[in-house]
Amino acid sequence: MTLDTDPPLPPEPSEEADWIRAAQDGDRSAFARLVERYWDRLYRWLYHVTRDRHTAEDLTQETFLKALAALKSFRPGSNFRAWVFRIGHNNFVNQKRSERRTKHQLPEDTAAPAIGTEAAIENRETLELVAKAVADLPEDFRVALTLRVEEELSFREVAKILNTTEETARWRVFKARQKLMKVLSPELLPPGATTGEMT
Amino acid sequence: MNCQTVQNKILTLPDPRHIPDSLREHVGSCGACRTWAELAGRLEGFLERLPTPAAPSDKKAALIARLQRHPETVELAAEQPRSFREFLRQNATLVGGLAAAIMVAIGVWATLGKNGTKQDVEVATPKDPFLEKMVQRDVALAKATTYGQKLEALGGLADDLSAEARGLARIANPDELRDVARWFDRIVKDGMIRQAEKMPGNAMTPAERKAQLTELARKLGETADEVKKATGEVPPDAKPILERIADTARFGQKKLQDMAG
Repeated sequence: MTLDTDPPLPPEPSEEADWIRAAQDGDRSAFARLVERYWDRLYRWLYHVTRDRHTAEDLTQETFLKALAALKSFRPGSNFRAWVFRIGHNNFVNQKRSERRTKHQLPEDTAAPAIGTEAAIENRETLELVAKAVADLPEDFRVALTLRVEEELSFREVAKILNTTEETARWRVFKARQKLMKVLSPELLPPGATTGEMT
Repeated sequence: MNCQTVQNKILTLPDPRHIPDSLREHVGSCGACRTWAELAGRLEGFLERLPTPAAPSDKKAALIARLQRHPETVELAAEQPRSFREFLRQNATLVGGLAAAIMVAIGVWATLGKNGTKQDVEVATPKDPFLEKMVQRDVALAKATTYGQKLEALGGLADDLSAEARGLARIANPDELRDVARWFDRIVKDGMIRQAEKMPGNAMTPAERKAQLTELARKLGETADEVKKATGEVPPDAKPILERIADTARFGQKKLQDMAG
């Protein structure tokens, strides 16, 4: 049973705290370790937000450069990941405001599962449908949902990254799921099941 | 608890696969809600596994290599202000000048009449599409030589602000939205209505005056309708702010309609 409350923040690994301190003192190779730790996660989230891998990669790089520039303002002991993601979100919003460019691409190079059972194939097809439905979500819903699910952030943390209230963060995730359920309900049934068979 | 409420609560959970005790009894005894919970859980599982294509180039490796081997070559990037409110805070002089210019243009015009001199305020165009528009409207306001042109410019400002509010309502934090609502209030009440009230009888022909005020009233009515419609799709804390903008627009519409006669 999981209570419907935000989980406590995990303790900051002491190793990461050391890297941050060293980086704040000017050690760029320490900052490189932070890049190594968080780059892929940030890129993944920005990809699902922007729906374009070029933009996602550019924004990820820009985010880390800005994080490095602002590192002295980071408060030791607070959540570094959330801080970086907030910078990433700010960059995304700035980029949208200045360019108003949208690209809609389905995943290009996603690896298909090696196993070809019928269930695996049906799951892969469902996953593609889910990916497309997520890409079609209004942007603010998609941003909040992917933060919550991919990064397993609490609604409070999502709100801090998006510079909004916890209530709004929860509402956006709710609306995203609501829209997805409306579009995808038939596709979400397990392979071979009908609605009446689910127990 | 009815099924709709339970199903909505499931979608509001941090993770729909973990049903709390408060919902478990109903979900356990209701077939429809049990199915809903299972589908929502499956959806969550798929969302966790969304495919991500590889990045097109290897900027990650390149940045790490530079940080390790040539740290002095890494150019840092300053963070741009993200929100309208942050822009206001970081560019207080610029925006203060802009706001002052709008209010001075209105105030001087009202005090000195159409031949009065107006204060020129030089402002650099900010790199934000909304504020660029605001600056352009301010320039139009400053260049206006007739009451009619001034009212037109103010009407345009009101349009831009309400459009910005509708755009921001879903994504901005409520404080930012309140800033826009306050500006809209000032433009409509201190700007448009006051200008229309102070317009001397000989500023334009009665027919021109009626046509302009009627048109501005119509646009404010449209604004009120559009903003009201937008309240259906915004977070709960944005609703009252949008409703305030809609109320101001309706107030302005009625005042201008009454003045049009």
